Amino acid sequence: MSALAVDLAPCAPRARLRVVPTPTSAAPTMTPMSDHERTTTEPDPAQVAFERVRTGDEAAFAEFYDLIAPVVYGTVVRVLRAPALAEEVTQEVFVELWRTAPRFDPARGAVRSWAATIAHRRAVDRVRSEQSARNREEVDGRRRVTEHDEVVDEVTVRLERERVAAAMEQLSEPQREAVSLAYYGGLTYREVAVRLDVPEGTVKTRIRDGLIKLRHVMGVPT
Amino acid sequence: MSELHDLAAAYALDALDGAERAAFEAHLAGCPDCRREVAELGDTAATLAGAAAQAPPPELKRSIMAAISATPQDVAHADGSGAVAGANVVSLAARRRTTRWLGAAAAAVLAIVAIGVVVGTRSSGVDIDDVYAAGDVRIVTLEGDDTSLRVAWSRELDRVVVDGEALADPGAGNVYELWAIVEDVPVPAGLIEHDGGALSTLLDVDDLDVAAWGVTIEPAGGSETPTPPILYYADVE
Repeated sequence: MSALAVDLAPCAPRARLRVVPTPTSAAPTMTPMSDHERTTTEPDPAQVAFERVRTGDEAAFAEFYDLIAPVVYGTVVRVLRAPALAEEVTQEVFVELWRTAPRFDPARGAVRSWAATIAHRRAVDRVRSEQSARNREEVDGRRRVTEHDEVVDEVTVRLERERVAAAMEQLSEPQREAVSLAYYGGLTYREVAVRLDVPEGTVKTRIRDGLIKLRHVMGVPT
Repeated sequence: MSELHDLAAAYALDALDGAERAAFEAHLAGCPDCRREVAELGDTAATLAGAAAQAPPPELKRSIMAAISATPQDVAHADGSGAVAGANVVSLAARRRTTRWLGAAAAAVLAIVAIGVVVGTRSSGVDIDDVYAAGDVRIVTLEGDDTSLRVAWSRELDRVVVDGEALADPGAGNVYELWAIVEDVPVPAGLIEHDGGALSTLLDVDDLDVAAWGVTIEPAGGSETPTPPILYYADVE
């Protein structure tokens, strides 16, 4: 197994993807964070489209964009809470997905997960560099979904949103709160601890337990 | 050290600050348990993105499609060795246009004379600061895989400065060479000294209309046509 360590800082040392070495592989092949195989009966169309993107197929990238853009943009705008900036970061994410596509190893995992991981990391790095500490305390980490135009969103996008929201309901309130503040609020666990006025160790535990619970509830394959 | 294990979940949520993130990533390199946990929790975290899904503005797609049209894709190596000793990852800025000018180079070699000569940091009264201070200076960042180089050039002064840090050793008997791409033909623009990773080189160049800059590794003394892979590259807009 290998994990992907991503170090992103748009304005400083440029983004670099580094595969953490495993005993069997030293190849600089990018992998997403898990090496699970998709267990659904049909392949994710985004995964199928991305296979062609890896060969430079721009039309395939357009298809891929249509399928993945709501998750990427939605995550970015949720964390950044600034639509113009979110567009800019979304573009950076997709340019990175395009640029690094040939090095993506499809056997090692889902491009959808990979794209979401990049999007979240870039959004968090951007929000931390853009906001002062004072502003960051105003972050709304509540699980409530941001307002949006229902008419524009497709059914599948809404269903996915509801599926995750329902899974989050299975967490305890403290777990859900800690996970939300960290993930959607872009806070570090230390900042979450300050915000909730609990010890850092408590936050780390809530985050870990919450994610494990979520993983179990959502049936994320191993 | 044991304390770092309990950062895995926070790491998966991008909830570590810069210093802790760097420390944890260093830890990951030697900890299979943490790698496994990060992989599993990271996938779970990625599903959280689904709850935030929201259709982007339509015009964003046009902007992105235009951007990727102008962006070269990395090229995967069959093995992990790469061409440059010491580089973590080697990727190429391989693109249709680049490939074309690599091919054209052979035909143009007779017409092209090496125009760049390493002259150290001062050349005929012009030094590096002068180039940056020139009225017509243009600065371009050449993107490599792990690092980037900065090229600053002034047509008035006929000088190019190449700046870089943390550059991998090109290897014994090799040298970095700068190429000025002029009308799709790469023109040798000089050899770049590598001095323990940092470099800052001043080159004499003719007054050419440069469309792009590239850097390759060549045998000592340089070449008249570039040897793939192209390690650093940028178009001049």
